[in-house]
Amino acid sequence: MRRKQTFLKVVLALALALGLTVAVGQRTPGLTATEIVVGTWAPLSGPAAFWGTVPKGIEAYFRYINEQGGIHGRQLRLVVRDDAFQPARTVAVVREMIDRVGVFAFVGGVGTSNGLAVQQFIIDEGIPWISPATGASVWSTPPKHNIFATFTNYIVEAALLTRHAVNELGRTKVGVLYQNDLFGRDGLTGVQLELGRLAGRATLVAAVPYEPVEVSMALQAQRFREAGAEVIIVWSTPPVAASIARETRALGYTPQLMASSVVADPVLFRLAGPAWEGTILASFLPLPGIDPKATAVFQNIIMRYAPDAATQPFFALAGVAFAEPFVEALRRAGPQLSRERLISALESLQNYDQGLLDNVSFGPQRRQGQNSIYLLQARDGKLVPISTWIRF
Amino acid sequence: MQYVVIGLAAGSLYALVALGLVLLYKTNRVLNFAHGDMATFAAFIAFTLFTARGVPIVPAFGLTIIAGLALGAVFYLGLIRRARDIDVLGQIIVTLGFGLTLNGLAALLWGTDTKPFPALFSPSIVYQVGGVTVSQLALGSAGVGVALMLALYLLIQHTRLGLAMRALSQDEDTARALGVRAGPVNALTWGAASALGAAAALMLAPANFLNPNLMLDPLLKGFAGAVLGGINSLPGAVLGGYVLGLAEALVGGFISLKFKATFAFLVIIAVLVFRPHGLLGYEFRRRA
Repeated sequence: MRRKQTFLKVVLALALALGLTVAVGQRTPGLTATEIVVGTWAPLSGPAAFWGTVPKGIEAYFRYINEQGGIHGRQLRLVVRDDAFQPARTVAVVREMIDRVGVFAFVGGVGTSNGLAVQQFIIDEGIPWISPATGASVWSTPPKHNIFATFTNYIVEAALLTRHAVNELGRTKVGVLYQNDLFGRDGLTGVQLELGRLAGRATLVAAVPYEPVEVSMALQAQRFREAGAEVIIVWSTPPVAASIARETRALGYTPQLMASSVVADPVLFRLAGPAWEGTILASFLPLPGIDPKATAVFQNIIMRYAPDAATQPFFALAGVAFAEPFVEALRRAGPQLSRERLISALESLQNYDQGLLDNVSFGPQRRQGQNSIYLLQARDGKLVPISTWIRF
Repeated sequence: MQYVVIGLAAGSLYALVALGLVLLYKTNRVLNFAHGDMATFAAFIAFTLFTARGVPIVPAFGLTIIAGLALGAVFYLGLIRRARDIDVLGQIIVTLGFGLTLNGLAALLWGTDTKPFPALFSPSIVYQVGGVTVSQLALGSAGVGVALMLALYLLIQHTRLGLAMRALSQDEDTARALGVRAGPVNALTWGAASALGAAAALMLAPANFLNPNLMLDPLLKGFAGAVLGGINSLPGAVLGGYVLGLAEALVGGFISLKFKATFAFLVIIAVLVFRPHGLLGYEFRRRA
């Protein structure tokens, strides 16, 4: 009798333990009845720390949403980790967010090489990743079930800039300054793509690379001058863009400069001074002071919830823009939330332009949301729009 | 020809950085990995003096050089001297740690964003000399560099302090037995090296913009120049810096820009393989 009782107790204990394990295993990480935990990474220190403002924009937007009651009764909590722009560290912090913190989804995540380092295991873990904060085309092409690239990628930006230079400005000799990594090479690819479409109406006379640690572009400026480039398309970080502007001016050489959205930041006026005048920039985001929607977001969300990000309006607003489609999809997914329902909700976004981005559309095999830019030009120390939305 | 001008301008700054590194290596046998970060910190001090305190450029830069000197001396007296009895690797780690600390402190105090830097010699004012364009900054940097190199030479070869520095570097115990006070002399040596670094940073910041990692690349280039010229030779440091600057510009201009940034590292490897003591250096022989 005693032995039978003991046996039953052991079986009961084991069953209970097994049941608990199964129950715990089935709970989605980062998701409770009251909270959704979202992870992101960015360089908060190191050479690329100026991009560390992006998570501040996401955070500001989440706080704005939370103050309105959250989404279906859940508050959004952002977990930010610093990877100092080093892919090896991105791996470590993303693993930490998955294994120890437990995140429901990732939003943003700055750095192309950084994102590439963690892409595969985010795919393997099935965690939705919305808006990798880099315009690399690799996120959406080929499409991955759980990765959604929202804003216009570098290839399309560069192609549309080239189109403008040749069709509207009549330039025929094109030069490209590009950072020697996937980011820079995407820019080069976009230019080459469009030049191919333009069928000989313009040629690439100089494709000049630089390494991420370099800043001074004296040599590169001389190369472009020798090649006779009439327009230089710049795919670089802000200090390098400022440097090429200044160095070409110093040589008495004034090609039309065009650059990616990553340098559409007022800091370029301080760094490059008068040399920046006339530069044409692509932007996937409307800017405050230019567009009323952006001004409203800047006043009501950035100034209110993340005022220290206000010195870098482009990156701060970018953070908001990255988060908006995610939050809209959370709304559409309803109170019974799961990762799969979030993914379906994202796929249901068609021509979504309630947020800052224009015309965001996803679909069952489509993971590139926006394909539009508009053009800004540096005039009298300010960025002024010179076009409306241009769709690829 | 333009490439030669570009190369010489870059080379004069590499030489200045290399000089600071070699000065310390020659006298203290320590590779100061904090050299770059100390120089950057000094540049931030100049920035604050100029923008926040409204000090005019020349006095601001002068005060900054003095601040650089003080920083070097404090570093020696506070940390290096205490680490004297640990091995060379340990001392290198101390310098590395100090450098990282200063880097973080600069980011904390002034932010990580890139700032425009006031220029004593402007990078935008250019002169046309026989078909090539030279900026005021390039000329000014070269001039300042040469002046500082001459000043260092005079200090070391023609003053009692310089004599004391040379004596200490040759044989510390004997020098001290003969009355050389190692503490103050070494503090001044570290101060001088740091001041040289500060001067280099002040010349680099207008074109490379001020941020906590301003000296990251120049430090590596200066190190490559020092290795090329001979890590224990002061004239070698100067020669190595100029040769590296020129070679880098010519390779970048005529061969391939893709390898311009890695060129300096290829140079380090080549020198260490084929002629470890560099162009003007000499081998160290330890007498038993």
